[in-house]
Amino acid sequence: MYKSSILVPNVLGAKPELIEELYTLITTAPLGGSIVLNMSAVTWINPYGATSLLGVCRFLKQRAHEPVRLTGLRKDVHAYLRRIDFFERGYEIVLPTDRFDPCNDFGRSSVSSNVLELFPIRVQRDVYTVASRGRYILTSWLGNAASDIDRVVNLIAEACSNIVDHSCDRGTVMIQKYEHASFIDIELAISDLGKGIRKTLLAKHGNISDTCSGFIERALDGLSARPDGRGGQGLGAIQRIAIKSGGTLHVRSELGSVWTEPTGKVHRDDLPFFPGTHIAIKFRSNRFE
Amino acid sequence: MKRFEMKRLFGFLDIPEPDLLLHDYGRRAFPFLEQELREVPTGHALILSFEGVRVMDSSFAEETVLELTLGLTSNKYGDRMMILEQPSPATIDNLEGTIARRRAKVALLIRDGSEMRLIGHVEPNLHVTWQLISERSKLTARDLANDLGLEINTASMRLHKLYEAKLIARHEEVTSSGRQHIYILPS
Repeated sequence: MYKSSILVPNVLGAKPELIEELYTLITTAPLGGSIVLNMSAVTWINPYGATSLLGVCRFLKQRAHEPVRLTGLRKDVHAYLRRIDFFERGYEIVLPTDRFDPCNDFGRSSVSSNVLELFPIRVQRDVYTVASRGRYILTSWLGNAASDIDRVVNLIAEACSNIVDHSCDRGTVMIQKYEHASFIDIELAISDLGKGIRKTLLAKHGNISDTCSGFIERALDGLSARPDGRGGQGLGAIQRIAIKSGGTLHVRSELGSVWTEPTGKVHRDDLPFFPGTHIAIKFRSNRFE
Repeated sequence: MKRFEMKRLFGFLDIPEPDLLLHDYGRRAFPFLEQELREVPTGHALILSFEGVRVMDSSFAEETVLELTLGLTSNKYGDRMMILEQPSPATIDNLEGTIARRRAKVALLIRDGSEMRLIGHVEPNLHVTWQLISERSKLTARDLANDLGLEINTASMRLHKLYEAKLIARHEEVTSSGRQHIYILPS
């Protein structure tokens, strides 16, 4: 049977903008038959890389009508994907072809763990579940920095409720902790293959921008897509909380993206079309101060 | 004074503690809170205690606290007020963000221990007036006019605006020189 093989570049642990290299590959490669993603070059995966990879596999499965096969997985990358429930979340979407000895699995202690595995968001109840699980693990990560824990829970709620309220798709969220000498970075990634920000706002507000990044920017300004104009502050609140902490925010939807950091913003509208909305949030906690 | 523990909503709504999240759950909580407010004696405040609540997100806040506040300021609930007791910093951020995003011209009374303060939209001159009442425990239009060097009508108007915004309470006193309103913080 005919197979299409794509060599996945080593970008899944890099800054969000570098993952565009993978989106370019999968949206421009001539695809037919079953699809194989060769992961041999991948040495590191972060939350945004994981949600992006799952999104890519769903996108390819929709085209090939059969599960995407992952090959060439390094042992540690394979163990990491198992640890974050990648293959459970990608059930019937993605299959590993490499053998894996479960003795090499990473531990799952919720107290010592640095990661809250990929979690599906389909209905409102899921938002409560992920907020509760997030709060539990954040308490072990951030100790008694209660206000930081609350702010991250707030980020989770705002980001996940956007999926339920607007995307018309199921979404995925993942959270990981990175400890540094004097601070802790909490990285959250939230992704769906739904309507995207432009179509969501277009339905209520008309053509308020010529670019996808323009639509994203309006959402970041707090423009609501609800028919009654109500709703959470959504991306606006996420931006405010992340940037105030000294962190960053990346929002990608369709052809555009907006990268926000404390010193400014970068807008792009030259990206390959990829459906849905994909968000990377970095929240910085100075708990060691 | 009537008090409602917001943590009771976890049971009413069948949701896990300690966060109050999402638009739809807020909409379901609203009738409970509205009923509590309607049961407050006229001239008094409903105390919403946030003890045991860590985050009330902006969606939930909009459907509950903001909706009640808009009802209060439009006189839907008569001469009643509302005080939020010990909301977390994250909840206060969300309340302020919700008021700003809706461009609602309302303010909320926040109480931490014995300290009371305002958040939201308050004109600066009304804020100064409210602070004076807070410091003195009671104030009349004549007191305010004397303190700030205002015309009595201006002083009276400022106090009336704060009263209409449900940020202060008042009672009437009859003296040898006639009737006057005594303005106090709600309880």
